[in-house]
Amino acid sequence: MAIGSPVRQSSIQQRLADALQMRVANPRTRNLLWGIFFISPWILGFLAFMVYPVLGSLYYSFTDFNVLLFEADWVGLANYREIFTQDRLFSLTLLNTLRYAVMFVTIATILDILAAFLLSLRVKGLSIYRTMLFLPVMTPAVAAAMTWVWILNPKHGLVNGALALIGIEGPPWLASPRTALFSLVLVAVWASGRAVLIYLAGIQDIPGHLYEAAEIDGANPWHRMRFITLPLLTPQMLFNVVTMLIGSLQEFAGPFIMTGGGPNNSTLLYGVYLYRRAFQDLRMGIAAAMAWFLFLVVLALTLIIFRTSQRWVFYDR
Amino acid sequence: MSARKLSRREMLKLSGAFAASAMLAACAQPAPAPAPAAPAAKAEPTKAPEAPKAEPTKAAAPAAAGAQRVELWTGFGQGRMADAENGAVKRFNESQNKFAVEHIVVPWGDIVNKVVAATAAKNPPDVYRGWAWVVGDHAPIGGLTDLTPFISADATFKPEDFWPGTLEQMKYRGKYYGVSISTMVQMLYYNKDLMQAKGVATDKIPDNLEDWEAIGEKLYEKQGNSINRVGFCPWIPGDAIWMWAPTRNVPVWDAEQGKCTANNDQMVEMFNWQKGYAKKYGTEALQAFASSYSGNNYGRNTPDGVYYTGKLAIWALATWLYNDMKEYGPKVNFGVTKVPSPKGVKGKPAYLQANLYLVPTGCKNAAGGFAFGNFMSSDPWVALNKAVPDSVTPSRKTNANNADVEKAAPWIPMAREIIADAWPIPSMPSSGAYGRNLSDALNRVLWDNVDPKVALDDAVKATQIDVDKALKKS
Repeated sequence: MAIGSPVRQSSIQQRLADALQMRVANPRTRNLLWGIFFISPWILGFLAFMVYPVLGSLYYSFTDFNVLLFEADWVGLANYREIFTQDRLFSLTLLNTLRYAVMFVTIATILDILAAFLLSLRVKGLSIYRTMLFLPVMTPAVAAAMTWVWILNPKHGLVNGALALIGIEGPPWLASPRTALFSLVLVAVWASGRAVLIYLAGIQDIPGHLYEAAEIDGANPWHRMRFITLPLLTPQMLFNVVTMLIGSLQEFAGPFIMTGGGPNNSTLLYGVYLYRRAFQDLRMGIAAAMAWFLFLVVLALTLIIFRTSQRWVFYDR
Repeated sequence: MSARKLSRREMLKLSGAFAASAMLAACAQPAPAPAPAAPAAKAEPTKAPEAPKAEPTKAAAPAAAGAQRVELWTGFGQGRMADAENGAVKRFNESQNKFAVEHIVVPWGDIVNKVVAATAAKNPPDVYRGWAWVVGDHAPIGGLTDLTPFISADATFKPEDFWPGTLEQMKYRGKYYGVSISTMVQMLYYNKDLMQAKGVATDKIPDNLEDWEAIGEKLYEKQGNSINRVGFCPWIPGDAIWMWAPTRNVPVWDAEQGKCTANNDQMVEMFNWQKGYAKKYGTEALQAFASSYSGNNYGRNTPDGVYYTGKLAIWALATWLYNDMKEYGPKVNFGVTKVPSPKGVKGKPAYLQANLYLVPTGCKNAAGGFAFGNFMSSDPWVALNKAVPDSVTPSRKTNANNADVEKAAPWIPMAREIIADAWPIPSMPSSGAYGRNLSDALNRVLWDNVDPKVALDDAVKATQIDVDKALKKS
């Protein structure tokens, strides 16, 4: 009899069921056990690839961890002390990352809402514009970063080439500490089309009668935007601001590929430095401590936003 | 046979059982290779349990059935270097019947990280192609197999046949951790046509830094704030620290004390010299030039590269560019000489970096890994067919002095002269981090006007923390 034939499958199933039947009398418990059995591959995956690394990194953050031999010597808070008191680049990268996150979240939020508002107008070729805005999200981060390196090339780049046509000497973009971080922000904003779609869905979800009532009351387009659209978009804003903030604090691919953290460490973001400490300097304990500190920063900022959201997010319509 | 359909519940049960068995199977240890070397001790680098006996060479004999598998990782995936590497593997497999090497290509940029991950997972390759700095970074923390017992047992292995600097980089604290195939040193390249166009004679070239700088100054080409051609700049295209420190005999490492010493007056003087270029030509303008052309190693493998289009007039770089110049810029009339020291300083002519075959800790076949590395280092055919295309110098003097190699590589006589007196980057812990920290210090001086002594003190202090940690483990 071939393995996998219905008769064989039925026999395996019967034996499993019999075993369960004999040991677990309560049908609810039995069903629960079957349920757990069904989702066990995903539970195992979650435990192996999420829970274990997370708890492992917490433990390793208190150790001097030699990744090559997989040996960890307990050092208590020494790694945390080292990053706070002896590592000049730690504070620099934290500052760079906060600056990057603030610039990105602010600019992206304003431009994405504006783009969503424009897309909500009934104009010809709307689906084309929508696709254009979403395409950068679909582009692989590495390919996009490599392309932007060329686009922003100070001498041969498309941007400076276009500026030269109208007699403007373009900035050095990624080649100067003055402009490099801002250039990274621009590239990240370019790829923030996902938020536009969420804002667009939010705008389209606003009941039309509110605008009609406002128009009857004499509200002009600015008033309608200011007192209807924006307030009713605040739930989407809350979601986008939180997810963008978390993403930007963890940013890695853009600066790693486009600048490597330079020039003069002006784009050395936290994630890039963490990678450097972990995989180039092989200081895994330090890198784990940095990762946990970043988690606490992200958690604190997220909690602050959620706490203050009661004042500026409107759910009732 | 019954054609009964599976119910949803049955399907889910079977899927669950299948996924669970697949996960268990994936987690199982792979079958061991035939007759592997004894496993590595956990807390220290792998000790060779039994040194191999020298195998007689069997010309054109195929790898015998039952030969032990040796997993080799390199980045030689395409072009003439891939042909040379694969040819060498074939030759090795045919030369003996104990080991069969399998070549796996891993991108150069990832190779060390992947070896680290594989070593942590207790499944590293048996041998891989790396660089001297890996010995300093990995040997102190137990990441490499101690090859000394293999070398001691090999009567054909003659340490005195290696260049002294190369031999130093194969070792950490007196033990061997790599076998070197080739050695890189630096040369000063100059574009004769550009020099002649500015009325500079090229038949008698300067022998000191200041005179080369004076020529370089004449060859700059600017347009407004933008630089179209760099005459000479210490950090374009090469490494600003290791390239120039030996020319001034700057001490950077006290091996006896285990101390970083780069925060000294000579290094301060070197930083101030480089700062002069930032002041003269503008840090931003030089950086814009570098950023515009630095892609793909300054266009090394394309005829549009800076070396071949006259965008750079005088520059210091490794010997590996020599053959590229012939291939991608056949019409460029260029010359090479030693990297110059300042007037009155009898510095070293270059820094030296060995290319090595390394055997990670915990590999399955350390004996096979060493045998292959030793073959690559010693075989004259490999020396001719591999080192010459990449214009690096064989690490064994007998190969570097080989008449066929010399005939095929016209730059070899100068490289030999440079290597004999070159400064090896020290085999010290955290040497990679040291280089990065010193570069960061220089950038602070160039961009932020930080006092060189302060910047160097910070760099040395930061590195020393990592060094002390590594030394504590070794």
